[in-house]
Amino acid sequence: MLLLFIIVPLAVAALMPLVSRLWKGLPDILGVATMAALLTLSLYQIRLISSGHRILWDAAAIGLPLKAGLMLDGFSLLLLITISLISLFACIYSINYMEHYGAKGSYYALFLLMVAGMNGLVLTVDLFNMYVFLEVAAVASYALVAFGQKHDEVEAAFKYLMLSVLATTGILLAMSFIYLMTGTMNFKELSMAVGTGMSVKLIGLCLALFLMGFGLKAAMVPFHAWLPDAHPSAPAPISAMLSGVLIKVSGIYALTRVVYDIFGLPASVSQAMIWLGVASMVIGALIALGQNDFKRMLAYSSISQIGYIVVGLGLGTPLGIMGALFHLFNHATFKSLLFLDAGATEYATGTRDLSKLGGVGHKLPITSLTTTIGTFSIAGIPPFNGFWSKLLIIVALVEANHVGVAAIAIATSILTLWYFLLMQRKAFFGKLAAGLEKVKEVPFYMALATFCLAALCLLVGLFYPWVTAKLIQPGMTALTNSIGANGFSLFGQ
Amino acid sequence: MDIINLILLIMLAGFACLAVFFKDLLRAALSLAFMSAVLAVVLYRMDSPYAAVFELSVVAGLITVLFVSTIALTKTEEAVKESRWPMYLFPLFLVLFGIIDLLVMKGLFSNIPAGYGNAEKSFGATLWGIRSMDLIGQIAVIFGGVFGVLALFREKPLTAQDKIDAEKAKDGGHKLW
Repeated sequence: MLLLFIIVPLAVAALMPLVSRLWKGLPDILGVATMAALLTLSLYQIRLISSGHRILWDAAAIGLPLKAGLMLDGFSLLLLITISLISLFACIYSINYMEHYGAKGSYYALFLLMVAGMNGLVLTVDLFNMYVFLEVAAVASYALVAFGQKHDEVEAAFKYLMLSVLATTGILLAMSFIYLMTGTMNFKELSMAVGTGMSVKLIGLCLALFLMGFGLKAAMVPFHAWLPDAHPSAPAPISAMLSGVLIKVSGIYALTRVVYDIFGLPASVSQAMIWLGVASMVIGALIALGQNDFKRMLAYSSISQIGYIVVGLGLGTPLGIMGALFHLFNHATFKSLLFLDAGATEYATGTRDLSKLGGVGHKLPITSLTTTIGTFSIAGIPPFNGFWSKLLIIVALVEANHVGVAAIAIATSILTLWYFLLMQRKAFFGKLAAGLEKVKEVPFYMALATFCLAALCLLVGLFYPWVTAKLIQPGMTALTNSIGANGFSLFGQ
Repeated sequence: MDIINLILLIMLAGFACLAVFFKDLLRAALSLAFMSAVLAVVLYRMDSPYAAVFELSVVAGLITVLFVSTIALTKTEEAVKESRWPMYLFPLFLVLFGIIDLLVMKGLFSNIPAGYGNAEKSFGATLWGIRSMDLIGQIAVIFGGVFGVLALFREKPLTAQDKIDAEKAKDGGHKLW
């Protein structure tokens, strides 16, 4: 069953260039249908996982001549649902948005490969498999960033590629050291092997390399240089996927799996994560404040919001983990929504330069409304979803006696509200800018995708007890169990 | 250190540097292929024949073919002025990396117990019996490369202005030269 999450998008991707020749609309239908099927399949797993169980899948058990294992626990399920959900809305949005790019067959093929890579990454129980699937998602995303073929898009993709290579070199080097020390790549076997007579210096080096490599993938400060170029340059649905999902899967999820499952969150790494998170929160927000490019501002905002997630995970307390996982899910929904809205604004007006926009709110009522909902969610205004997750992180920080960090988190949230309100005022309110008189609302599927995501931001906020109980708590339980099971101590801490 | 290994490692680094510094993409791709071939020899000498075969066939062979085909699809449009800073900084970083490598890595490697993963297994047993999931990932990476080339080297769709220009050119009303 779990293999379907990898095989189905991979198989449909392989068929995509062929079916696109049969009928022009077929790639759209296949793309949306595949993502809808994967979302249904992942939602179906909730009832199995919410009771605290985890699913182990073995190829040999169903008679396949392979030795392959996959695992689904609360943490991986949360990511699996997030991937499927955001991908579905990105696909719906792409029906209209990608029309003028052409080559939809290749576009959906790369999109589905990226999804297959991310699904593989969250389901694997093997460190090297994790690297392979990380590369699958990354290779597809480089091509998708450059999909528009313009100079700045190709340049951004190249910069993204170069820095990603640096990240994966660090990750691969750390994996080699670990394999040399333990002789295994399996998470469970690694967690048992770590700490049994292994060189502390070498483990420290491996952890530093993992933190650098996955930190670069997650665009944590100071490894964030690639993101503000790559995310705005990509087509809007891809920006939504990169900021909403990919940086979380290939950065946050992978780092958390390694640090929690293998090493049991050593105190030194916990401290490093908290301070890297704080730096990301503050620096991302301060730079976002000065941006005039709609999508670039959102990209810096992603760096800032990733900071909240890393701080929560760095804390390692049940409440901190819960807040971080909830914010991970919420950020995926509202940041994807905001990137799709930025794309819709550019689609309708021909620019994403905020100084050239103005007063288009009444010309673009749905885009304006959904952007406002996204703004309130990301700034943590109740009752939208961002409020609850930020509240959980701040309470967890106070509980853990990190009052100063909690104050910084609150101040950053106010800063976030400030730069988003500035964006709203520049783009949607005030006098209509010259040359935008003929602007009209975006086509149906684009509006539908943004409307659904906005509704989700509100619904998750209103029904947060149900969402946290069914989706977030199993993830938190899986991670707290990992710390309890390992408890590896680095440098005597 | 064995003198042959030292020569091979110097060749490896040399071809890697050439791949970075050649301005001609074709020469850069071929330097990379030579680097892979040398790496395959290094892997073979380190008792990893399967890794050597893969390195030689996939990287030196298949990937080089992919690179050369892609280069053949590109065309010269305009000269791009490149910054010369990497030329000056690269040797500095190389020396710095070498010093760090000498000072740190030897000490770290002495902490690693030798002898893991050397159990003799057939190629099929290794690939199908131990690393099955990697195969799926490898297939996906190859798909990614192929679809990426297809997407990035596609014909751009005509814009409204392009269509007007094409119509004018057909009617003889638009002089290109």
